[in-house]
Amino acid sequence: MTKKEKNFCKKPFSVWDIVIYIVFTVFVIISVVFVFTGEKGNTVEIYLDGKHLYSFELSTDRVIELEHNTVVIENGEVYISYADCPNGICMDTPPISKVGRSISCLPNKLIVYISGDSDYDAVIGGGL
Amino acid sequence: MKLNTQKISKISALLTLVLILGIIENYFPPIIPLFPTLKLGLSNVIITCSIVIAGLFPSFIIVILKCFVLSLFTGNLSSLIYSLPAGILSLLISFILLKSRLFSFPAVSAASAGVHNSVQIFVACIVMQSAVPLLYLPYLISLGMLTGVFTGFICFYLLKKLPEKFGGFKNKFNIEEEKSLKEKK
Repeated sequence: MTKKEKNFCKKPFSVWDIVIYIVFTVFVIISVVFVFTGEKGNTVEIYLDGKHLYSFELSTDRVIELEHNTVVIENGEVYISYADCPNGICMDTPPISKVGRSISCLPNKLIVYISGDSDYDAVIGGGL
Repeated sequence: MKLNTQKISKISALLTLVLILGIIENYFPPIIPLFPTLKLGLSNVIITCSIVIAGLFPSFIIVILKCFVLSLFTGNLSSLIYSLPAGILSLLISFILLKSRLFSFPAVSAASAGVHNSVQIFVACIVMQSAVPLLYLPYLISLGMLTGVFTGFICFYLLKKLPEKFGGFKNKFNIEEEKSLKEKK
């Protein structure tokens, strides 16, 4: 039994752990920064199967009925109110309003994403 | 490598434990509302232990079978695309880190949990053909590594209690220590 092996079996700590814990701390710092920054976005983008489908203003209340999901824009927030996927996780996710946040329905390949670009050529504002 | 009866019974016993823990985990409500898929990773305790108890190839079999059975159980066949690569890669990482004898169990578990979650995010990026899932990378990796530390501790104390004939560390160094103490006296 070498000393290495003995330490491995006796203690749940080791000097080299610090490498992994440093990586952990870096990611924690990044997450904290991400959570507390971020302004309210103004455009909701809907992607289906990787293709950009619609863009809507966050300020107008709207109900968007897609083939497998229903997306609702209400009070400056977006959420998914109905989905026919087996796990229904997208319906449990709380509403989002900040830039860069998203709600996705993985089985139906849907992403609802908030962006802050106000100059958007293809914003479908009124007619729907 | 021989798949004799002893190995098969070891694999089945460990697989049963993994499945039971996986199914119980599934019934827990989401810990954090923004990430409903985040799980406690209890089955990873058994899988890390099985690397030590049964070896790499049996652990492979356990991970693959676990992914298939759990996907059937939860009714999400599409979850296989995410759980299979993540499970296999995290198994490989834990094996490499464990074999080197440089890292302790909590760190190994944390690293494998981080790898598991990041692989799931990368697969989601490929499936959705967009970079949006990458925005969740820091949160899922930090939370995953946190739960990984806890599962690593559980795994370590489990192995400490397990007798040596099953691959554990129960009294592995006690006899030597007693001998050296007697010699000193």
